Amino acid sequence: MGAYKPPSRILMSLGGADGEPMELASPGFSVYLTACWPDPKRFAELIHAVEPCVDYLEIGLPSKRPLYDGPVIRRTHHEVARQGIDVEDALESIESLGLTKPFIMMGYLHEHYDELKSLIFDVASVGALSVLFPDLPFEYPSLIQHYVRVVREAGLRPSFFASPRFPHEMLREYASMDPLLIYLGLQPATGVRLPSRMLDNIRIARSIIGDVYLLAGFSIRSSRDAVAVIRAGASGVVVGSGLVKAYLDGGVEGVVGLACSIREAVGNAS
Amino acid sequence: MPVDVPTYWYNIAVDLPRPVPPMIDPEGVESRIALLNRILPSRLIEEENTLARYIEIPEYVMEAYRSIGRPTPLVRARGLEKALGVAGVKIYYKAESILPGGSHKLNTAIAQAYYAKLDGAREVVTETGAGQWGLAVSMAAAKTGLKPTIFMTRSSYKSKKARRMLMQVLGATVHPSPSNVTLAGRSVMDREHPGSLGLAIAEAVEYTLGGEDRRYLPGSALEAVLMHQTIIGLEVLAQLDEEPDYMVGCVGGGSNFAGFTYPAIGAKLRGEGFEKTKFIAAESSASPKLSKGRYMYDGFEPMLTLPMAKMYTLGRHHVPPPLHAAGLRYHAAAPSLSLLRDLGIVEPVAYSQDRVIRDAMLFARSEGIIPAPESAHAISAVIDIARKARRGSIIVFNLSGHGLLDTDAYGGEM
Repeated sequence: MGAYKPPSRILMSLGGADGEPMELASPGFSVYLTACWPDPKRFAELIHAVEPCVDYLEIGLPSKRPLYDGPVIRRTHHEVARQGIDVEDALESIESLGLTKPFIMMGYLHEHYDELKSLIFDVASVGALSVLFPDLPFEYPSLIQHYVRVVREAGLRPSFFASPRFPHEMLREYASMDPLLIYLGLQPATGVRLPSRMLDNIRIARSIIGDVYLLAGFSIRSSRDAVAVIRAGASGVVVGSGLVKAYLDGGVEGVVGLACSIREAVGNAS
Repeated sequence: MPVDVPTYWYNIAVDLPRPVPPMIDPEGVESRIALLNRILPSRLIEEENTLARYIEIPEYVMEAYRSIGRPTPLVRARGLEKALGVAGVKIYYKAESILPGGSHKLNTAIAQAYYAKLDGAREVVTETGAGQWGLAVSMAAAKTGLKPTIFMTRSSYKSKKARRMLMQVLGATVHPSPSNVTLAGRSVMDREHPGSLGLAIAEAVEYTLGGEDRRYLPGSALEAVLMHQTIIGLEVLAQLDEEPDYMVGCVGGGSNFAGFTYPAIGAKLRGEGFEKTKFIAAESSASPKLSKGRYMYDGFEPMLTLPMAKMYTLGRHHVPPPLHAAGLRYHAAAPSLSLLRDLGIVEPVAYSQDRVIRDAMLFARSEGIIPAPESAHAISAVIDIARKARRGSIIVFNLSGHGLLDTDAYGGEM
């Protein structure tokens, strides 16, 4: 994979072809899919089917130990790993898809610590807007500045993760680094719904980060959830575990039905 | 100085220089994080994950705090100063020992029992070491109309008979842990096993999962529990005329230490004072998790029925010898406290039982108050600090409990 050259389709979709900072749709709707799940062929079918229903996509790099993921997303990682698919395979698969919607990638830094720079450039070369490492602030906080430098070298913008128990000063620092987005996990793990003050947490995060794009995820299951989150101050919402369940229950049709209905609700929410 | 009871708790997570790593699920099992829905009071879970710096204390809890004697006094330990011959050094203690349960534990037991009641629970379940937490839960349960069930480490079940009896007076069923009541207990073949707090937690959690109308009340380690205890430190901030040079507390899981120090640590982290203050965590040399443990993901209990957290830990299977200070036998320190230790903001010291009991006797005979063996670890640290401190130094410690029911600890000295 060579040096990063932003695919024109991505820039056009974001209106950033003249070197302007690329911005995501707000209110925006996204879905998360683990790369190559359920398998490369059905992944391609699934992601193309869902593209018309989203503003942008999140694609997870296969992980052997997806620390902060709940049981549903963990299962997708394990199923991909059982097929012997690694990160390189996943990136090749993504590159071959010819996606028309912008996408960001997510991965666990603890699995890529030694090849952080090359991974970021590889991610850039397949057309991603950004790569987010949820374990960066918790396990490698001293690498945040390095991550930002490398991401910018690769022509991307940084994205940051925050948990529902997060230092305010770090949120301010995130905001000061001109990120593509700050991803606020509304729950301790993806797809797990615990009693929470998620709307209050969104309001607090918003009050700290100003106008920075705030993406909320980890517990969005329905249009109602998504609308509430947007009205509380999130710029966008992402659905992951709910989408996997919809696929397992209703196949591609189930996924499209869920995604399109949430996107429509999000679009009408503001 | 007279102060009122604070109307909010303090959440240090939002002021830390680094985020507390999230809980994770153990590998290869169903989600333990999701299982918390069936284990903990729902409002406690809410408070565990919040970006708010301050959490308003519910009116029911405020009324209860006032009724049990909050705010507790901050007392100048002139007798101890004189006994140590440390002229010019001021020593104060926060007297959580005067609360009806004899320790700070009621501060969170009241809130948690109330939350369990809101969920429609009829029974509350917990573990206890020396019995301070079990007694506090039993009191809070009695006040709230709930049935308490307590798994008490077997060594304390035998040695702390008075607290066990008082729990029973309050309506509690008290099982020695390991017990025959649970699979976790039955998995221990040695019937003379002294028990551990981790194993007692595993039993309490398993028992809780056996009934829809049960809720498990954690005594320490969880962030919301530590947050409830910040009522102690918030009062101290209002009571102190001068910023101290040292704040000292003992550490089992970390709730009394955190409750006592976090408001001041938070102020320091925000640049609002306490620049000179050192925060000293006194632990038992039999369970020196902060001094000799590893900072890593580990279980709160050996069966991994609860999620894992990143903590300073001696390993979830750690079984220390029976101790008079049974409340300090826990294998790990709370995640936020562990992070503060990792950052060097909290400094640990560890003391042996013999040393601690000697110092407790000195305190008893100079102040006229018998400290809990757990709290006496803080006293040992205070004595060491005071003897080396420069003139004008101020040392404040948390007397987290009294030792009137710890006759086993003091009997050997008579």
